[in-house]
Amino acid sequence: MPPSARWAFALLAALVCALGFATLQVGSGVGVTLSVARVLQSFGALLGIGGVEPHAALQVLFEQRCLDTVAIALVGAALALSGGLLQGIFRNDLASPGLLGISSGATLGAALGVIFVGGGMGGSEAMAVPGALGPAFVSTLAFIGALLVAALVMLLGASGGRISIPTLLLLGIAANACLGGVLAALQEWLYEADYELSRAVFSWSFGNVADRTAGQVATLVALVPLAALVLPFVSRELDLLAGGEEDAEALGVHLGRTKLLAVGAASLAAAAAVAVAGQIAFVGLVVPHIVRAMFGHGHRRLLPACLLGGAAFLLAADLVNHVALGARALRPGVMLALLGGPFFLVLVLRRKAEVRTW
Amino acid sequence: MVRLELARITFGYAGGAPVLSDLSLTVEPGEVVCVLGPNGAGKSTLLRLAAGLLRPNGGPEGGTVQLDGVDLRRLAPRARARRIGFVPQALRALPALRVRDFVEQGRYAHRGRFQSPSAADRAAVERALAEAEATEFAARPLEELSGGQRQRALVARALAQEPDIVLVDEPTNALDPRHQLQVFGLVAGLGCRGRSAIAVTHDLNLASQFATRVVLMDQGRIVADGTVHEVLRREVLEPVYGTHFETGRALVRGWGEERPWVLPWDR
Repeated sequence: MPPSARWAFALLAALVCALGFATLQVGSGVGVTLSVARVLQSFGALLGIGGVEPHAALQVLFEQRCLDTVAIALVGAALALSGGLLQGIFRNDLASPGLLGISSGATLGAALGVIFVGGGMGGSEAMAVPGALGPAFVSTLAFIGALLVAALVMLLGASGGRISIPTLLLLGIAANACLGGVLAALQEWLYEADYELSRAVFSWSFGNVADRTAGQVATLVALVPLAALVLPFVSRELDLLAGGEEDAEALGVHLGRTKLLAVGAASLAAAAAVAVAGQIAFVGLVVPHIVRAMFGHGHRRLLPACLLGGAAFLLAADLVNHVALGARALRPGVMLALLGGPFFLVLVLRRKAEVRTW
Repeated sequence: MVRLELARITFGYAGGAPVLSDLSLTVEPGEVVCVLGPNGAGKSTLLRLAAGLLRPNGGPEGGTVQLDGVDLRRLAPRARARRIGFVPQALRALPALRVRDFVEQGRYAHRGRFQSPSAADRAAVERALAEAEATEFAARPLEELSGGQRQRALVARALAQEPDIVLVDEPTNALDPRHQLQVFGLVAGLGCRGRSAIAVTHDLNLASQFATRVVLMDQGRIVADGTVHEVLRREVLEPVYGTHFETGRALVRGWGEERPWVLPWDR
C-alpha cells in the first residue's frame, strides 16, 4: 500500500472517531449536550475507572448514546460495504443493497413483527405490549425477511450452478415490486384499523437509529465483521471481474464462489443493518462512490474503506440532521433520500458523458 | 508442455441447435494451429471449449476436453489458468488500470491469496511486456491506448500467465498490417519454445505465414486439417467460403520456404 493510501485510511479512521465522539456529545435525539469532560468522565465510569459517575441519569443517557453511536457507525459501515460489494459483482456503480429486494424483505419482515407484537423500533417507538423482547423479535423477523428474499432471488437467478447477474437484477426489481405492494397494502389496512401500528410500520421504511437496544447493537457487532471476513476472498476477484465474467474466468477466478461470497456477504451486511435500523437509502449507493474517488477502483482498498467511509458518512449525516434541524430532525432515511436523490441524478448524468468501452 | 485433446465434442447453447457436432481435435506441444472458417462455423465456440470457458454438453455424447489426459472440468479454475491462456477479441469493459497493472492480472493464478507480487511475478510481467513490445506504454492507462496497443496489452497479459497453451480469438481485427504481423509473430513464437497456440482468425494469409497447422471449419465440423499447403488451396477453400480465390506462393522469411497466399476475388 502506498503511503498516501495509508494516510487516507488513518485520516478516515480519525474522522470516524471524531464524529463518534461528537455523536456522544450531541446525541441522536433531542436532549442534553454533554461537554468533552463529561463524556470522558462518563467513559471512565463505564469502564470502571475514575470512580462512579455522580449523575446516574446522565450516565444512563450516556450509555444509551454509546449504543446508538456504535449502531449508527456499524449500520453505515454495513450498508456501504454491501453497496461496494454489489457494485463490484454487478460491474455497475449504480447498484445498491436495495437492488436485490433485501431492504424490502427486511421491511416486510419487520412490519409483520410489528403487527404481531404491536411493537415498533424499540425505545421511543415501542408500544406497551412487547416488553423487552419486542425489538429483538422485530429485528429477527426483519433479518429473516431480508435473508429469505436474498436467498430466493439468488436461487431463482441460478441455473446449472451459475448465477446470472442480469437475471439477478431483474429478479431484484420484481421482488421489490411484489414486496412493496404487500407492504403498501398492509399500511393501508393498518391505517384504517390501528393508526399507531401503521406509524410503527412506516417508521421501518425510513429508518431509525435512536434508542437502539444492546441486543440490536450486539447483532451488528457480530454480523458486520462476519460479512467483512469475505473481503480477502473476493477483492482481487472483483478487480478481475472489471473486464467481464469470461475474462475473469480465463484468468483463473472461481466465478461461482466469488459471486456466492460477494452477494452472500452483501446480503448479510444489509440484512443486519436494516434489521436494526430500518431502511436507510443511499448510504450503500453513495459511499462507495465517494470512497472510490479517494482510494481508486481496486477492491482491496475500496472495500475496507467502504466500512470506514460508511460509518463516517452516517455519523455525519445523523449529526447534521440533529444539529441543523434540532427537534424537527427527520428520519435518517428521509434525510438521506432528500440528499441522495439529487446526488444519484448527478451521478447518472455524469456517467452518460463518460461511457468507456474497449 | 501439454497436449490438448478435444474428443468427439457435441455442443449447443441452451435450447439451440448444436453448434459443434462430433468434433475432435488434438493439439501437440509446439504446434501453432490456426482455425479458419466462415462466420458461424463454430470457431469461437471451439476456442471457448478448449479454454474451459464453455463445457461440453452433459452425458457421454457431449464428449470431453482433456489437458494431458485430465478432464478440464476436473481442474480448479486457478490450475487451469496456469496452463491455458485465453486472449479474447476485446473486453466487455475497459478496466481503469495502467497497462503494467493490467498485465499483472495475468499473475492471479500464480499468486497465493495473501501474497504480494513476488520477484518471479514481477519478472514475468516485465518479460511479457517486453515480448509484446508493450514496455514503452506500460505506465499509461488502458483508455489512452490505440486499438493496436490494447491488443498487445491483452496478449501481454496472457503471456504473463506463463501458460503452456495460448488460445487467441481473432487477435488482428483492429490492427494495421505491421501490428498484425507482430501479434501473430508473438503467438507463433510460443510454438518455438515448446508451448502451443490456437488462433481463430479470418485472415488466411496470416494463417499461411505463421501456422504449423491449419484447421478449416464449416457448420460445426472440421472439413480440412493439415499443413498450409494442404488446406490453403482453391479446391478446399472455395466450396467452404462460397467465393472465388486467386492463389500464389511467396517466400516467408521466418520459415525460409514458400507459403501460399490466397486472395478472395470476385471474378
